[in-house]
Amino acid sequence: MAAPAVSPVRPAAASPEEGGRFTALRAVPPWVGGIVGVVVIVAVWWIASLTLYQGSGAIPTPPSVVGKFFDAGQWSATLNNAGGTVGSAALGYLWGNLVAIVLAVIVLLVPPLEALANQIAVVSYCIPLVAIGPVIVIVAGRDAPSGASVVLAAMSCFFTTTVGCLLGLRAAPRTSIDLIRAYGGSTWTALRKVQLFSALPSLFAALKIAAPAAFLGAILAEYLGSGGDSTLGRAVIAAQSQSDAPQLWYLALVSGIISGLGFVMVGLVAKLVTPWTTGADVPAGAR
Amino acid sequence: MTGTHLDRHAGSRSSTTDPRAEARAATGINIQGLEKVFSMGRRSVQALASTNLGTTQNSFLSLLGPSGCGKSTILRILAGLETPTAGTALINGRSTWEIQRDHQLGIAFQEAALLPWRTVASNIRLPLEVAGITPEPGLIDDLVSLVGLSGFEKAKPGQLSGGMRQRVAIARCLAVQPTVMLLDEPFGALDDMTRQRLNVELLRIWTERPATTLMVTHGIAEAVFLSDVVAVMSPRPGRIAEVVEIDLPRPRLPELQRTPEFHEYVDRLSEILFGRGGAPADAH
Ligand SMILES: Nc1ncnc2c1ncn2[C@@H]1O[C@H](COP(=O)(O)OP(=O)(O)OP(=O)(O)O)[C@@H](O)[C@H]1O
Ligand SMILES: [Mg+2]
Repeated sequence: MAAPAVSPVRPAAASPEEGGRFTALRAVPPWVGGIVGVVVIVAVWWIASLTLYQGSGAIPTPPSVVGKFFDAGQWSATLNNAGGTVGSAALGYLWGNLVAIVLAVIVLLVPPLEALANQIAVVSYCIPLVAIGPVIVIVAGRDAPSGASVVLAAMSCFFTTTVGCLLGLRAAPRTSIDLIRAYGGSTWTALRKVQLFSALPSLFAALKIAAPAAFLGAILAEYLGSGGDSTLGRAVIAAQSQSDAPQLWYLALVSGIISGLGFVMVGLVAKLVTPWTTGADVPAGAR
Repeated sequence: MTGTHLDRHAGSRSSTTDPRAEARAATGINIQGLEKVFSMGRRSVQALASTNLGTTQNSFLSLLGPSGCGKSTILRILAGLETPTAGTALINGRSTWEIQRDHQLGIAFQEAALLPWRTVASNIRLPLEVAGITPEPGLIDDLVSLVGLSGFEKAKPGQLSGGMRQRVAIARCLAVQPTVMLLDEPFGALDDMTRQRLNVELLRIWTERPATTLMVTHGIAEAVFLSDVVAVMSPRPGRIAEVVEIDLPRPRLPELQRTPEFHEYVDRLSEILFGRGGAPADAH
């Protein structure tokens, strides 16, 4: 079973000639990572737009794209679209993670179920979402216009969260559990008093990765035909059919920002909920 | 309080009395014919061969022996963490199950095993929470000051030194006001100086709050200093090789460790452990 990568994605190392220009960025606190990543891409992109594919205009210049961010009409449409997508993604995120956590807890309490749970998790991970997406879109059909978006978002976070949660639940020190048992506590008491807490750091690492994953799942479903008319996925289809390069780039940027925000926000919640993993917060003996 | 009862030959027990009544009469720790075989797949390890051991109520028993001889296994059986393959283990005439049910067992391990998200006070309260007991007001504060950590009630384990954490573990062990204490190398991970100090404190606490105590240790001197009885175990499969009653007066003060009587006991135990002329590696 593959462990999920847990470290936040840092901006890619700059190439030698650009190195000097970007070294300063490394000193930036990690929580800006998502935003900084976008900034780096913009810089590279500007250079590319001025040098590559000038004939076809496949790479629009940053001003033509960034300008859209200051266009009021464009904004309200985007907010509307993003609202639809984020709504589906959030719902999927909630369900996917809930099912994953419940499954992990059940596996912990009933070990023989582990093999089955592993199979479910791996299968959900191995089926390419692009392949199963259209099937789910047809099944969800007209009754639940955004149903497929929710399902794909849920499927996208299910695997990482199951694995992260199980690893976390198992990470509890054996002596802590022995202690609870020696005092007459049951498996359930040990779970409540020890394992649920010691699982949090690992669980949150997974939840952090699951946030962009859920968003990607929702947008993909919309691109494959799910959801109402005002979603980011639909906007991408529209822009694509008109070969509107600046609009496509603009939508990609918006998606990236939302995705990054989700990652950063879950990270902040993690810091609030699991302060003990970040060391001392109150000076010892201070009263 | 220092009288002991020992029976190293299972067959030699009186056959005229009812064994059950006899077991209840022999208070303290009473282990008879205890055996433990761990099986891992097709392989199996005999951790304990038929083991017998007995002490009186509220006496302090230390288990010494080479690594892997089954000391922790005995302690874990007494704590209800392992089930014996054969034999019985009673403490104060009662089974582990009864003692756990009445919340009379305190335990501490080599690792403090504090929960990092709980404060010192909240860690000490844990056994009471598990037992569903609301602590009397002031109990936790008393325990904190008993182990010399006043002012650190609200600190998190991550902010404490190793010695302080182990003090918290001892306070937690005392939270249920146990009549039975099981300590598995409680200060084994600490440096000699801290360990020495904590031993003196443990002795003071144990004198204030008597409890039938079993301590597993590698320190010969600390075993002599603290115990009424020291049982030395032989290598695998674990058996009790010899039991030495430590007939030194109480209360025991640190100065006792510089007396010839004390050293006589240390030498005798080293001899049993390492053989004549063998240099004790971890005696101090
Ligand atoms: N859960 C287990 N599964 C299999 N074997 C075990 C288990 N626990 C202990 N053993 C084996 O039983 C034997 C006794 O172990 P135990 O932990 O009681 O030794 P010990 O005397 O406490 O050693 P140490 O001084 O190193 O702590 C060892 O050989 C060990 O490998
Ligand atoms: Mg041990």
